[in-house]
Amino acid sequence: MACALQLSLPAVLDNLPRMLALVDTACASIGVPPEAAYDVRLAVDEMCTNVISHGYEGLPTGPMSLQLVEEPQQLVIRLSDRGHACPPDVVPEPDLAAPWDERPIGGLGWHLTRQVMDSISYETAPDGEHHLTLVKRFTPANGPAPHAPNV
Amino acid sequence: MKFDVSHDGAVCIVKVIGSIDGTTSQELQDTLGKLLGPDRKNMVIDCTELSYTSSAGLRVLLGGVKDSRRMGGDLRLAAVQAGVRKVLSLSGFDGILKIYPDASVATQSFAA
Repeated sequence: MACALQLSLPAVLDNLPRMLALVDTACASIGVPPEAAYDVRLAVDEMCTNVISHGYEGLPTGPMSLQLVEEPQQLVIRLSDRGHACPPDVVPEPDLAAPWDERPIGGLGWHLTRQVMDSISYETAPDGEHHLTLVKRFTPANGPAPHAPNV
Repeated sequence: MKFDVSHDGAVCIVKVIGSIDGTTSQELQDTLGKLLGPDRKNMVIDCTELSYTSSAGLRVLLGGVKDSRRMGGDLRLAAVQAGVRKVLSLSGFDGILKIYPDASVATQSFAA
């Protein structure tokens, strides 16, 4: 049976470790190789931190929900919230060539997520909940995925 | 996350053990802030046991680089592991920070 895990917690920094622990559990359970597991952890870390830091700015703190679903040779990650919309196309890319004294502190979360994920999509549902969907493709560390059919 | 702090002459070596993310980066920033100063402006971050960083860690390292260089010193990295190295590269930080294979070589680089 394919792995599917879900967790919903208030969007505060103290809850970030539990979100990342869920990622670690999912990747270990599925057999995601170390480099891909780091990429998934990084993307979830960055995107959860965005929701925590900016998602509910000026609003009462709301939930952030993480869902991790195993599909054949890919992991689908869905992060949902009910704060301010933040579609990826409104976030500019940082200037990576700027010299050290001109590099701003911050602004790398979306850039890193774009670099390490195979696809990113964002939608706002009719009920106002925002869903960020990330996909990471991988080859399982120890041969075919456990759920692969026999041929 | 834990730190082991040592000194080799005028160079301060901070071994960071564990992970740097949004919940631990402030602790790293506070530690570097206490250690860096006009009389101690050269620092090596030993990353041998640093297993993970997000952009939160990069923010702290960049801040340390800026503070140390503005005092005429530098903050350099040593023994960076593969995952952390990838994040540094994706962020263009490997063009900003000097990176060495181990803490000893990084420390000696200040004498060059």
